[in-house]
Amino acid sequence: MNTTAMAFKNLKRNRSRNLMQGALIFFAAFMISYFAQFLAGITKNFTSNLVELATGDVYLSSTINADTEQNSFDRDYEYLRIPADFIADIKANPEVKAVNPRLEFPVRLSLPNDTLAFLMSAFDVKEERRLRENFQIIEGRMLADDGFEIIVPVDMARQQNIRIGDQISVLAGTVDHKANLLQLKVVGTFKTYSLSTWLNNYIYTSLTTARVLVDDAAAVTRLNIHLQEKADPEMFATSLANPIKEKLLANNPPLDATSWKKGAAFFTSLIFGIEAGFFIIIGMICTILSCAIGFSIMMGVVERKKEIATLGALGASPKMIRKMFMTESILLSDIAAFSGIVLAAILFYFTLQSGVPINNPELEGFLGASHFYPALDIAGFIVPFIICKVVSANVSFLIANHASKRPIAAVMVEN
Amino acid sequence: MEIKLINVNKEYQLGETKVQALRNINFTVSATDFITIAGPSGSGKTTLLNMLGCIDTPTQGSVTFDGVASSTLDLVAQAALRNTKIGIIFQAFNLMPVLDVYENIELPTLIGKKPQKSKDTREWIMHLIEAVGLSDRIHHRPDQLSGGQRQRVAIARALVNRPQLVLADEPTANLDSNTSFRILELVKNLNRTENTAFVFSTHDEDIIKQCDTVIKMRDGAIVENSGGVVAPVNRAPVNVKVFDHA
Repeated sequence: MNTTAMAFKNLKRNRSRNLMQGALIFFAAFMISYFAQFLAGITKNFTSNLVELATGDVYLSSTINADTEQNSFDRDYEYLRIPADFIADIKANPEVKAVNPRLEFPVRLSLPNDTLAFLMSAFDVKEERRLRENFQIIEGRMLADDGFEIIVPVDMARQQNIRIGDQISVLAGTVDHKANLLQLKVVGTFKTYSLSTWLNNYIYTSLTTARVLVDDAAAVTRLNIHLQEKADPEMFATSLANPIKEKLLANNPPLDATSWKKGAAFFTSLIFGIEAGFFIIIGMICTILSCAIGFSIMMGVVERKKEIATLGALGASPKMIRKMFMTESILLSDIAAFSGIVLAAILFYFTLQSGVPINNPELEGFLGASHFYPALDIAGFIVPFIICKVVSANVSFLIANHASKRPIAAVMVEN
Repeated sequence: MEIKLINVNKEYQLGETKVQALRNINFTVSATDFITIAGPSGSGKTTLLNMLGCIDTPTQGSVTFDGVASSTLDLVAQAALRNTKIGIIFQAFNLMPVLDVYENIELPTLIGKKPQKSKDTREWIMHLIEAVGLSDRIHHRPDQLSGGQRQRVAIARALVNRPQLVLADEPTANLDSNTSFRILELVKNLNRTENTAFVFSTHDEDIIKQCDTVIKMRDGAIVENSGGVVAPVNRAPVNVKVFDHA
């Protein structure tokens, strides 16, 4: 029996019920596939931002104090002296893409009416393009590599009445535990595009200026190492244990190499939480979908029990009747799910072009970005299609199986 | 082909009431038989046809098809038996609403997985359509046909697989005398040439006159079998009309 042709005819006949069932499948497929791209975006953005802007794939820093410090975002870093030849050796490793020294340390800013304790962060302005571009300069300009300059968060500038061109006295502790004072010029105010909850807690200067302030030309608090895509951060961090022991431990406090994941327990647990939430939502959608499809098919079976009995009387086996209902259901599911996924793909494309502006500061802080971009996840398009198909096939099988085995004469009498 | 009903009883449970639909039915249908089952409404005619059509099973007794009890067959074997050996004409036609006349008639051949495009099958379907006078309605769906036309489609559908037994519940009830005559000619011809047995439940005197055997039923029991012995029934005697047929 040409069940596909018959299924098409039946789908057309029961238009309103099938439209309702199709709309549910369409909605479910759309929701799952579209939000899968968002989840991929969250993971990709967070990972990329964290690695590129904050820690590198692996970073060298003073050993974390497990009693008082949680992760790379919430800890104190001690000054390290890392000689240029050690950095050169790391750079020479074919697995390494770039090595970026960072300096983060507490400072006191002498403002006209107040003295403010704040954190200063320094980076290589020339080398760290990604971090440089992460600053949205609201007023003024970006730091020069060799000037005694700072840029400050725009909110801080407004609160403390700091203006472009102001000279601010900055007091910092040196590597040798002395104090040093420098006059630094405010050249810009900024917002950050990503990881704003963390990056907005600092004023920024160039690495050259910071090293003058802490009085050590080789000083770093964290050495961020960016690896090639195929390299394994864990393995690489382990491979640094011996060189650290041999070349650095004598002149430094306890230090070690850490992969970004180890140092970002908060971040990884956040991603895990988001993914778990996503799967719970998928589970709920599937449950609602199963119930709705089941109800819709059951309605169809009730409406068509005389037809089922007639097919049985004409010699159709229960398997054939099941096949007929399942073909209808799967056909409807395929058409609706495919349409939902196509819409999700179109919407994904446009969202990718424009990004989703995040205006809520709390959400921005949570996501760590002022604009959110989804990321392409092919499985996110394929899996919803399969989910809808499997749900439709199973539910229709169960109901049609029951219907096809009912005694024909009893059904005829009911009608 | 031989179908035997041996001491067949059928009980239905309607709420708390037991309904005895068939009582101790014994008779045989052989190839070339042309049988009418007559009786008032509720006498068990349709239940008896259902037993013969293998779409219902007896509570007691057995129905055998060429010596094989239908109750011993699984659902698939029963379905295959219905498709290949039995044609059923329902009182309410039971046509597939999404299929047109041709497709409805073709349906049993497709269920039986006969080659759909076979020239013989197509010619046979066209012949049946012509015989039931629906050549000008071939692509009409059931909702575009009158009651009589629908019944003719149901008749053609029952004949399409050239079954050994055709069961019909009031087959000519909605037909005009001319069409009834043509259909009777067709089934008589099949009865003679293809050795197809026919069992009708009907009040139509024309059909009754042309039947070899008339079985009269009342309250679930056979009270007269003009073609054989009536099985003894332990119940009060009822008035029996003797059918006058040639």
